[in-house]
Amino acid sequence: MIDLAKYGYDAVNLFFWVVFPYIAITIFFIGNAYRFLAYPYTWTSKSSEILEKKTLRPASILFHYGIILVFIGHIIGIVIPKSWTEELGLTEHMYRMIALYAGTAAGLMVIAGLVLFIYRRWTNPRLKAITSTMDWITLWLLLAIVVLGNINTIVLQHDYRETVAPWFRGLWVFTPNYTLMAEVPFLLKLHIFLVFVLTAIFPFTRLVHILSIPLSYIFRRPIIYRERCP
Amino acid sequence: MRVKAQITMVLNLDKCIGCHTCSVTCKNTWTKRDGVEYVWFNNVETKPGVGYPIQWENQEKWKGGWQLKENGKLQLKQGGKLFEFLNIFHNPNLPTIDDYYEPWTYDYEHLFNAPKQKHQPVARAKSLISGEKIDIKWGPNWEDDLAGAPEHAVNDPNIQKMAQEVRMKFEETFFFYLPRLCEHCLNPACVAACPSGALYKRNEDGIVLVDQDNCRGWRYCISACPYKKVYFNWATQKAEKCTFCFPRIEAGLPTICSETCVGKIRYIGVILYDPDKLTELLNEKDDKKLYEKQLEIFLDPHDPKVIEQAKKDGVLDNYIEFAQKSPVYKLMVKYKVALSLHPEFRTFPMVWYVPPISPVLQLFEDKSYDELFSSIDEMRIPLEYLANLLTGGNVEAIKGAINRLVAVRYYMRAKELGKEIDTKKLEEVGLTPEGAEELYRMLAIAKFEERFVIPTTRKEFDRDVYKEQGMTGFDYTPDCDFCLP
Repeated sequence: MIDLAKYGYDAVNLFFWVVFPYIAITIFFIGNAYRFLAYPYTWTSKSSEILEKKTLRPASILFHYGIILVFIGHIIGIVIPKSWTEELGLTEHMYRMIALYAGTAAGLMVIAGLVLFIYRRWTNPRLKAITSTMDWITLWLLLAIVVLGNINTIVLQHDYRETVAPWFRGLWVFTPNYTLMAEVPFLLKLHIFLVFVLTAIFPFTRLVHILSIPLSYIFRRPIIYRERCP
Repeated sequence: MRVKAQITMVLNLDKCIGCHTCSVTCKNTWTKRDGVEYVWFNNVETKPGVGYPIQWENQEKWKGGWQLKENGKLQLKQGGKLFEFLNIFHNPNLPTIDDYYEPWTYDYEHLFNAPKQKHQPVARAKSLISGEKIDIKWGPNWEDDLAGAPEHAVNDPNIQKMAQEVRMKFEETFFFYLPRLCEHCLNPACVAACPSGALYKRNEDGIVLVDQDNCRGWRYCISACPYKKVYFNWATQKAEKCTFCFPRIEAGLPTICSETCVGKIRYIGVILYDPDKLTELLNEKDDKKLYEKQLEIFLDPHDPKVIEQAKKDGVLDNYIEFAQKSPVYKLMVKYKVALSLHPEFRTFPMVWYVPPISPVLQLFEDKSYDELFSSIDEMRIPLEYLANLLTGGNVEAIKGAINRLVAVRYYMRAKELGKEIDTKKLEEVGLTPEGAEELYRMLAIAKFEERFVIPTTRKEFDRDVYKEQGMTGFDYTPDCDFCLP
């Protein structure tokens, strides 16, 4: 449990870095489970390739491979404690260099992909007609998050492995030390806050397809026979 | 040996008049919805022609179906599982809607609301997707009855494969109709390509379906199908395909396209096959031998050993019984007049076609049998074209089927006109007088109940009706697995 006497009481930070993340995570799990069980027909990647595939090619490839790299980067920087990576021989200097160059490259890939995504949906009348409000919100929110992420990587270079990372890991074992977040730069705070906004709206967007990575395909026999459904 | 049952269709192209009734009734039944306006589960193409979607038969372009790798293994032509994972964000082989056509309607309201003007108002075409005004450049049946053939039909992959030159001049050209639907293949590429396992082949009747709740829109089924008969619903972003009208089939009724066929060209029945032989047969290297190899997989429904094994493998009794009087078994296996559409795609299609013979009367009038068979080579539809379409290039197989069809006509003509009957010539093409009369009856008379021999599904096993008796409205059962109030 959080020892309020020890950390001091700070309503604003408590809300943004404890209450709101937990609300978002709760909506994420319950929302996804409910949608998956109650509305499986709506669970899809919402591909628009059939309507436009020329611009989609660079857009989708840049975005998806970029965001996979970004995801891996966040695992190394946030989820895995600094002491572990140092144990494996990754020095502070090495980490910073990788985070700066690889992180920036991946971030720019994602930004390029998103800009192309928005461009094609904005200019192609077919795509414009089938793009839902939630699709637009998702796209712009993702763009904001990634642009902020890149600003933090390139300009601010805050040592988040000492602040954000331990707070984030604390969230998952129900001991989030929100005072660690107090000294984090505003733009990084905004980045993190928007990520939790995205987490909260995730079940209501097309992003649910991330949860359906078809790993079972690797081991599956080619032809599936099934009994008739009564 | 294992035994499985498959619901199979045969279409007699010789009788298809190209009226599109099958397509229209199918559309009215299944695809008059948002997102599938451009989708025709059943469509009728004029051949030669590029078809729908454009050049669907060109697998160098679309990479549909299977191919034999150098190590002798069968693999999806578009690539293996690694290919699918790496390209899942953008499928390079997916057609776009322009390869089919952009669906449209007309701005009829303008006819009523137009202000007073010098010229009569016009209802312009507008896209059903974007709602914007469009210029129509391509559409369904754009090449109906060879429309634009000098420009388009030369791009027909079956023509491009031919050694002999095909002329597109009006006096010299030929055409016939090819109604197309999902082939409900024995080795369906779409099923094998689906990353989420949403497509499946039904165990009891072999109908291939998309589980709409499991489809995640990965799109590989659409590019994997060499017949391009799996479609993408752009509104629901899921794959849809011909269902072989399974609710009708389960009730023992023919599909809506067959029921409404004006020319009575369609036959539906059960065929028994041995799934264990599939891999071995499809590993045949020579495309030209594939059609004949396919025949080896079908089992004689009268063979006691087959019947015994079928019962062991859970094939329902009425399926075995209906397989014995199956019209499709007779056309495909017994008389070998029905042939498979592009066996070289190696999906083992299960909608087969009786080839068209043309033109008929002039060619056969007052000819002796000897002259008759030699004149088949001179028929207006080149045998090589039909071979590229129906036997993977095997001209002999096409010739055999057409010889039998012509022999039946000649025999029946002689019989009806009281001429001398030479049964030796029937034997030459592998027919007996009884066989010729049976074929004649099946192809020419074609009564409803002889064309459609479809067993009903044993739905009485779906629920425990004994237990449910006297409980209408009170569904609670103490021992059911999952009870909700």
